[in-house]
Amino acid sequence: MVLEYIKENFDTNIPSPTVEDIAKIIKTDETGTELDDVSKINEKLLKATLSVKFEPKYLCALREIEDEIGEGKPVIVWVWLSDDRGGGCGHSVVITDINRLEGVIGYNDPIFGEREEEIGTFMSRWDNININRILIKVKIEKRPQRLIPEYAERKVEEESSS
Amino acid sequence: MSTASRVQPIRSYALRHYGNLISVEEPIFDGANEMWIAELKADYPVILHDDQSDRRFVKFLSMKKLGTLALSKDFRFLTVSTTREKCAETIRSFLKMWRDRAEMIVVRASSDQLVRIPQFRHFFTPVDLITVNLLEKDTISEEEIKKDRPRGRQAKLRQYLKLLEGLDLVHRIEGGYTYGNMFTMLRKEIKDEDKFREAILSYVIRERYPALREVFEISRLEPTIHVDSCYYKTALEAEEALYLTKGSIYRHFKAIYGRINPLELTLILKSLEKVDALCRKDKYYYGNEVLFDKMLEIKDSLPTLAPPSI
Repeated sequence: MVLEYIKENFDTNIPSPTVEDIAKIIKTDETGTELDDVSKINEKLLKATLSVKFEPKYLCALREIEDEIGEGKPVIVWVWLSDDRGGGCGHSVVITDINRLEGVIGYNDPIFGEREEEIGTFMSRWDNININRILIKVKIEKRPQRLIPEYAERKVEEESSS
Repeated sequence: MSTASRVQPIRSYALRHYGNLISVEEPIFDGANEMWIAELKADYPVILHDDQSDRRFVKFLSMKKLGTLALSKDFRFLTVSTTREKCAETIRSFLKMWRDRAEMIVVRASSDQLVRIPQFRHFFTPVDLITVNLLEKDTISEEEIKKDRPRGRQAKLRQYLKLLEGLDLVHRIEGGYTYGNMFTMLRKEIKDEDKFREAILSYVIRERYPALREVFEISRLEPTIHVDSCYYKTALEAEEALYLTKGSIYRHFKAIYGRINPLELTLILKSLEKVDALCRKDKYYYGNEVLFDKMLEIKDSLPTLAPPSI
């Protein structure tokens, strides 16, 4: 979902791995994914013309989500999805909007689609003891140089100008 | 190779590379990459002191999944292992996680006491306003929200109405709000009006502390919760109700949260004592037994400190 968003909104040739590929790269199995393994996807994105990096963090503050949204970047968070038997599981959503004044938060949910939730309810699901306020920042930056021919070309230019 | 003989070299490597605070789980052989992988863990020591008996002792905080130690088939250290710096960073995160957990435990167990502190009541005037009006006349209309109220205060009230809607305490209807199912349920249980108003506030604080702190930015409530947490976090680590002087609580506060004015600390401790959130005997503060038992129960139900799996 996030890679598609980057492809649509930024001028980049970012690869489009399948869900199965992503699961394999970040070592997802029946027990889930280790948070540190999420950044393994970055290696797959090295060939993109823009530098795209996924940075997983936990114990984050709401302000950090707001800052990312303010910069127009997609933000992935995990929330607790309760079941009817008192249990539940972690579930990822992509935050699209936060409105403190109206007390609502908007997100894209891979299961339920576009949703809006009361912010207090969201905060409690995000602050859940099993989730610990996980946030995956997507760093999108201009790559200073990417290929050896480009590097060589620039070097020649620099030398001739000096 | 026996379990003991393959664990020993891995333990030696862990000791050499990470120091004696970090130990390893049983190693697993990764056939695909031909290496031994062992998860790093720690029993982080916490030195505790009971001021009344002048007893000093050590307890441990269990931490799991600090990283992995990777060794080749012939037990040579591999660079894919977690670095010492990363391990130290993870331990710092876990200590922060434990601090947050302790705060959450304190709020969950003692919200009934905390709402009796006048400063708390003051900050929740909008919630009290909504509760009293719904008790009086079942509904709050849009007109009433707007009438003779500056826009800023109207917005604040709407923010709280939305928060209470999320808790099913109020319910949106055409042209206004009425009470929700949770409101009715609590009202059935608590007949006394004052106690009911307290119960609503307590429920809001207990269930929505993260939002109150970060969205409503009720930062002036934090010192009270932090002081309370300074005592109970230490007691939870000790797993017994310690006796601490004001000086010790002050030092704990400084170490965990930073500065606090000693005059303010005295006032907060007095407020906590008054509502039975903390008890006092001479110069020693100690935990309310009923609350502390509840806190221990919550602590025991929580998972070991570890990074979240997603």
